Amino acid sequence: MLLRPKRDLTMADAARAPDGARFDHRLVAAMVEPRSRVLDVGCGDGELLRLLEQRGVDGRGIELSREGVNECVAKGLAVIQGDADTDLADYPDDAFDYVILSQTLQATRRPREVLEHMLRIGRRAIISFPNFGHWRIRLQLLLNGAMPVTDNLPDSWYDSPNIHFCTIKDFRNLCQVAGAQMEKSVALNPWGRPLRLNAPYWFWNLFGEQAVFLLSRKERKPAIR
Amino acid sequence: MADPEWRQGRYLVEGANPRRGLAVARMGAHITYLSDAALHRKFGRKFQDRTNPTFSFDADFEVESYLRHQGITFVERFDANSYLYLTRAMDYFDLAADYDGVLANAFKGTPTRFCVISFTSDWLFPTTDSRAIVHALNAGLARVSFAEIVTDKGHDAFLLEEPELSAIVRGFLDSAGAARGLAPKG
Repeated sequence: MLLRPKRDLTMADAARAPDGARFDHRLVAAMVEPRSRVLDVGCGDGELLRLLEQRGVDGRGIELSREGVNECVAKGLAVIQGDADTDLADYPDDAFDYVILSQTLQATRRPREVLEHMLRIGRRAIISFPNFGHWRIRLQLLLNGAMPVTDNLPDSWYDSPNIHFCTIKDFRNLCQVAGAQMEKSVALNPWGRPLRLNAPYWFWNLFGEQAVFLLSRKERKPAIR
Repeated sequence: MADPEWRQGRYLVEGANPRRGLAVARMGAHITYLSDAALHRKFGRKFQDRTNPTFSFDADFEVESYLRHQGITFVERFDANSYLYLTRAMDYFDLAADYDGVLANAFKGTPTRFCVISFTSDWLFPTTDSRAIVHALNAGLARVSFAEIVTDKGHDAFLLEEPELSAIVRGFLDSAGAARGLAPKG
């Protein structure tokens, strides 16, 4: 319990800017150029898409859960029911300026293929994910010897939709093998605020609770399909 | 057409009316608007105006009586040739054929906003077909929303009170209006 301080709100809820938007969403939105075309994969209730559309972005979404999809469509968002693991293959090359995967990578069956498709469909990819290398998670595993459970990752291993956790270091390695160029990266503390920008990666990997990466494809196209 | 009163389509000129043919056609079609679950809930194996089966070809079951009623009343408000022309027009309609057999090409560069909605128990236009349309719209980079609504009321669910359908249609129309500079009322 010492490792799980009780908070009244989940951290994502607490981490809201004065305009009500989540900090991680604002961070992602700030990486997107105005008037660009965006595909948000795993768009949930459409909060990020709405934020983007307010900024004049032409946004589309894919969401796995029917409730999420229907809520988005009722908000007037261009969202369809679909699965990141299977449906990205249907999109043509260079269809979007950005493809966003917000807090979803760890729930995909084949993260590498998902990333490669994102870089094929979009000129750029923006990916945010929980960092399994955070010191609190490392400490829980070390001391408890059981799969860590935190405020931001509250599910037991057997209930969790998250089947492919990774650390920031792991993700950087994935970028290497998937032919992704890292253009920007930010690590966030548990309250959704960015960590020091000039810190070394090992520091982010230890103190970042989540990370956001802006990627582009390297010259050579990833060899898929 | 199997009804002799159809008269090779000249029934109006010859003062006839292929009521039976049209009624039977409608009875067959009407089943596809409903779902298995909805039919069971409404009719089950209930008898019509009797407690025991007569073991004849009479309409013993309530569902038979219902379908006959649907067929007969349809004849009052619909013209047989119109029915034929409409069904044939649907059969011959092939949008993809006009675009080299690729449906997605039909939607390339369209400024239209699309909203596709399907019902889980609709077996006339099942979700898989709607998904194929969405797939083509996506591949053509059209702006498309797609929602599937859980209901056991079959194809006709779109005519019934379905709050989720209303919410989705309202949200879609409001945003489409807003995008074209029309403020949603009230």
